[in-house]
Amino acid sequence: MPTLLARLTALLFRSRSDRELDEEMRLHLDLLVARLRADGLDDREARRRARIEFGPITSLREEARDACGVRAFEELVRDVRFGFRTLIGRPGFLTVVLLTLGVGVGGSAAIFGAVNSILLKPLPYPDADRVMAIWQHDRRSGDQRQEVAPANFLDWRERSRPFEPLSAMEPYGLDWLSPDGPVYLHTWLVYEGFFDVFRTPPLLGRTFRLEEHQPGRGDVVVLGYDLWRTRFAGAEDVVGRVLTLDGRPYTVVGVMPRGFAIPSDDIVWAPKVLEGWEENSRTSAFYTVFGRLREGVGIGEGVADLDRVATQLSHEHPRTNRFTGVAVVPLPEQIVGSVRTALWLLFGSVVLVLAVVAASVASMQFARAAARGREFALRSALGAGRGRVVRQLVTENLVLGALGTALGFALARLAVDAIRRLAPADLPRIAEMSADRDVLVFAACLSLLVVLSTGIVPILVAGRARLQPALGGRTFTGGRVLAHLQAALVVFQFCASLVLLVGAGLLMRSFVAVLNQPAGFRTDGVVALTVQTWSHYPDGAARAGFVREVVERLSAAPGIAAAGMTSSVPLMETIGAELAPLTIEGAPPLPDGQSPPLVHFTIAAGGLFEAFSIPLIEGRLFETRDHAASTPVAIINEAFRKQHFPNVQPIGRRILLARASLGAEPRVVVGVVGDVRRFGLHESPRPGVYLPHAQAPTGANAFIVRGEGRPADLLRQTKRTIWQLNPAIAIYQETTMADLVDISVGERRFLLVLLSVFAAMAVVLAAAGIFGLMSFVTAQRTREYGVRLALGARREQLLGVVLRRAMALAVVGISCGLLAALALTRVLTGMLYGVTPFDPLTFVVAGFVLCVTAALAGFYPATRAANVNVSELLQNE
Amino acid sequence: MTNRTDRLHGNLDLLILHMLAREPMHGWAIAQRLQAISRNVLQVGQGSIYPALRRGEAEGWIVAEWRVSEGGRRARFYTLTSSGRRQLAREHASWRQFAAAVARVLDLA
Repeated sequence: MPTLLARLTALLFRSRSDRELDEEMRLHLDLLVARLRADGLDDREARRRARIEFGPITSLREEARDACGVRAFEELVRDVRFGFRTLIGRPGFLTVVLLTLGVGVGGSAAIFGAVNSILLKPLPYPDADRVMAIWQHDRRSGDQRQEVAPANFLDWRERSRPFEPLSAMEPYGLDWLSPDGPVYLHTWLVYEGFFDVFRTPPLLGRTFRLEEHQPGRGDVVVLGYDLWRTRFAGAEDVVGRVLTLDGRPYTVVGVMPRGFAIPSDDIVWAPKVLEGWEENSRTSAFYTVFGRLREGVGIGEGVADLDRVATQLSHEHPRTNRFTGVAVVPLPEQIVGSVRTALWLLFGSVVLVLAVVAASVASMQFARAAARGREFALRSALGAGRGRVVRQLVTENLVLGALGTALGFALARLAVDAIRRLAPADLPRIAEMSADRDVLVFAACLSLLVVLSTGIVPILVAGRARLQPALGGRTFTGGRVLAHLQAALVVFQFCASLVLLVGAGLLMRSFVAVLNQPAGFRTDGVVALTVQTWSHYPDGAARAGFVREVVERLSAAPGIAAAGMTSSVPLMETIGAELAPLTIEGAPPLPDGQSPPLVHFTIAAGGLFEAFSIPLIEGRLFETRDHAASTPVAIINEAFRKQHFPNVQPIGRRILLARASLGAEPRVVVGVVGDVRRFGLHESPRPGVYLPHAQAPTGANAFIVRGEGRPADLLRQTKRTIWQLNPAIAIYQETTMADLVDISVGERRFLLVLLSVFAAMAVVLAAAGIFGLMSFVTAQRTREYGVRLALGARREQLLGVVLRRAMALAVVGISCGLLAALALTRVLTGMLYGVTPFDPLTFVVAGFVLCVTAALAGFYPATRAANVNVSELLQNE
Repeated sequence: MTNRTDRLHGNLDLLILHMLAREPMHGWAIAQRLQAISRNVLQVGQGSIYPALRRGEAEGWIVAEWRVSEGGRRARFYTLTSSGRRQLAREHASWRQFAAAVARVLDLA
């Protein structure tokens, strides 16, 4: 009985069988009329009688159509089975096409998965584009996004109408006495209304109530999803549990869902209680501010209003706010903006690879079509309707497309896993990336698109198959046309491969250049371990004593070459304050109203310079005589000396760092040391000042240890030493300097690896393309070559002919590729280091590589041509 | 009149298959032969063979192709397939059983 599907397929193939039926019935009626007229009736009577004798035409037609429904569906099933069998009948073709298609579709789908989950899918906050991140910026320095000072935030909140709520968060940390020992929890203190800005409901429990932001009431925390899963095993009953944080009991009141991630899912949030000194602090800037636009308010209005407030503040507080402006960034841009370019670059590259894949698949389909020309002609002659053959071919291609989808999706899943593991950890939303339904649909569309579009030509050819030439002649008449098409495809493949090779080459040179930059500090055998001692030693002298003790014990330990402490680890996020306004004694006074520039400072103790192997250029390092009661001293670096003491002896000069925690007295410069690239290997070193810990006892302590043992052993030894002195101190972070360097180039390396893989794929496919084409052409011209040989040509000449043709194609492709690359590589400008987008060496090497590839790929077919067996050929004639 | 048409309808497949067992024919010829041999008793609307023919195609008992008929026009000729022959045998046997049963009832009841 005809099913729904059968009826649908009948619908699709309806028109032809309808027409046939009509023709049959018409013939029958005509014959009936003729017979009746022969019996003596007149025309009109005959027609009338004929109609009656025939029966009700319309209902008969319907009945016949219904019966057909079954046939159409069965034909479809038969087509699919036949298509399957035909494909399996040529396992070589099937394997190669499937592999090529699968790899191309899989790679593209994987990158699409990344682009989709990072850039395209909406953020997990309702109406995320109405949430803004609001930054301060200093109009003089051009630094566009800086954290906000507390008093500024409070004024904005009070005076700005369009943002409701406007809230802020502050980085903090709490030591948790967990069942496994002391653990440092990254904490962010949040103002009232913080969670209302994002409107994401908590997964468990609740967020903070208004009264919990009052002094004494703020002993509650909300857990982040990742932290909840790793440290609390995802226990549903975690709400209400009491944790000992910084020695005091805190109650867990809620857990945020996965993906909330403001700023991360691996932290806790605690309610911010305003401290008195913050109400007027406009120079210490460490808040991150978020606000949601009110209903009906546009972002332009919001920005204008904040600008107005900023201008008011700059008049009311000229000393601090004269040059302070406001930068408003919509949340989506804030979260993914930094990777947008890189992701689209990857997407563009993978599209190129897909195009090369499509060209390969097309080539193979064309070659196969040429071989099947005879088959089509024969089937036509034997009565298969042309439509039937075409339909069967379409079905065959659909089967191929479906298989390609399956393989492509499977590969995409593997690739997505690999990408997730390879990608830099701070790539936004990377955890959300998965090979989901969107990716499957994308893979299916790609696969079908490639297969059907490359199969179209054979289908059209099949539609036009004529019997005589195909059966009679030796070669398929379309053979020459196909060879030209394949040649064009190969040229395109070389063009695309060159573009990808140049891109990969430029990224590779940048990567190497960055790594070759002298970091200024030693990385092999050096580990860093960070703690925060503010809460354990509230007294500055006690902190200094603690650090001195730890460093002394470590330095004395066997196997440790040097140990020291720093408040600012190169290539690591800041763990403490790092900027202070600088005044140089004796320098010309600043123009009225201008505040002093900020300089980077580091607090050092023990053998820090030895541990990092930072060279002493002039003067001396810190010694035990530099303590709290003696003259305040400082060490500067080369960059500082070049900027502030260009032609002057710096030793003995006095500088002032105007920051409360650093003391009010000017310091004497006692030494000059080498530069350290603190913020990134690709950035030029910035001027910096070192201060002795004994004179500026910060609680942000990173112990730097250099030794011969394994890094894990060094770290363990450091931890043991610390815990011997104070077992309650939690470890904030432990890592090796080598890892930090690795992470700092992580994004660069990620792009490089992916682009190199794409380039390699494209080159392999292009080589295969030329190989296939040359083989095809050689096979077609066997007779010609045999004749030439018989007429006296040397074998080496034939070799040369084929090789020259291969090289000619490659050169055309490479030339087009060079032009295309010249046009396209400017996209890479932001990511390059030490090379321009038009670097000649890279272009030349890429071209050379492809030339060699073409020569190698064409070699085997060339030898086939040269080794044509003349006598065998003559026998077959 | 209605009875006869109904009875015929149910057995149309059998008759058509039988006709085609001899030689391929087109629709008109089948209808004419049917009328002629049955001596006009089996007077079904001539057009009703077409749904039956389509059904036969769908079931794979007959195949059709366009050829030039004796009158010079293009006509669709139907040929019996091997599966059609098997179906013919089945339906013939079934018909004989039915006819024998009816005869027995009429004789004995």
